[in-house]
Amino acid sequence: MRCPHIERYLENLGEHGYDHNDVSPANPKYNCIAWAAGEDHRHWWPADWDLITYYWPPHLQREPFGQQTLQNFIKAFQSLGYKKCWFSYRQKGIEKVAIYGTPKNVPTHAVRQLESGEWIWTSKCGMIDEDIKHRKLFNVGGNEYGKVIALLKRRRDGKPFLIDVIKNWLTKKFRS
Amino acid sequence: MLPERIKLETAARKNPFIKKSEDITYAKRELNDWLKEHIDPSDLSEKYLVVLQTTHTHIHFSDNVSREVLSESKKSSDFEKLKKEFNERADRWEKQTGFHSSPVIRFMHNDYQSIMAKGKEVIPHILYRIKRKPDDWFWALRHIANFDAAVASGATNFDEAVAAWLKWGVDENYISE
Repeated sequence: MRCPHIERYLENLGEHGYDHNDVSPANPKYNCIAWAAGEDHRHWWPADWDLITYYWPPHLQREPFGQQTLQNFIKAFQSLGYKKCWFSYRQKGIEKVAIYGTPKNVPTHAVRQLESGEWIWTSKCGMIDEDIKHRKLFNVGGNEYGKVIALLKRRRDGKPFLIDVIKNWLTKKFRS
Repeated sequence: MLPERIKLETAARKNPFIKKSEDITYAKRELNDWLKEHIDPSDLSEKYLVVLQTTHTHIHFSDNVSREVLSESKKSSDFEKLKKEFNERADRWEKQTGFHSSPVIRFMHNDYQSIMAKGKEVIPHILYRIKRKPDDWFWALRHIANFDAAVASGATNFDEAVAAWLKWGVDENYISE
């Protein structure tokens, strides 16, 4: 199914930038941040003005209208086991998330990497539109979502990265 | 287009009931229905009222009744106009911001702001909209009504917030069930 309304606003998506055969129905019950975090039943946003419509991990700070920070979004994904990374290519056993934002680093959108297949990324387009699969991060970037401002990764099996295990071990050893 | 005077003369001629009625309530309803059916409500103005009072003395209504009937028609016409404008703006807002997750971007959109600026008159239209097509109209409702029905009802998720606002709308007579 083609989504002309999405193509119109995401100028780098075009007709061929996403998978026409795997577009979900439009669903207002979740947004892109929730979808990137692996959920499809509520909206994620650190909104301090509405604790009912918008979920945010309870241990993290909610921010006032128009003052959302990249750091808060990164912390939310870190609470799901993600850590910062620098490359977006696919790696076996690794799941990645990209956060888009404005030139002032205000988050606007997030996408999640798929484990396999021709289409690499999955995006829920906003609060009410469809979720789509696209090949490149560039496909959904542009005037509306801005560009990628953070990349994060975690192991798909839920275990910590070896480097983090070693770091923790060394920290404990030298503290004691 | 017929001049107003002729339209109203025709109105009286075509509806003999208007001349006969002693029952004011029934007559009001009849006249109102007739006006709705035969005269474009958006054309109604003070001019009609003056013509009605000066040229149709055979219409057995007091000035107050005529005024009330026309005022009700005017209200209904304003409601329809606002409904039309609201739906146009809401559709455009949804199209132009539906793909955004940021509530800030969505709420700062020109059409959302314009709708909020309409004040309490727009509340029924918002409530009918969220009943038909749930979306985040809560920010607008909270600011216009100066009250948070979702918080007051103890809602814990989006669906419960929608239900709470609709119940509030019924309780406050903004919408019917």
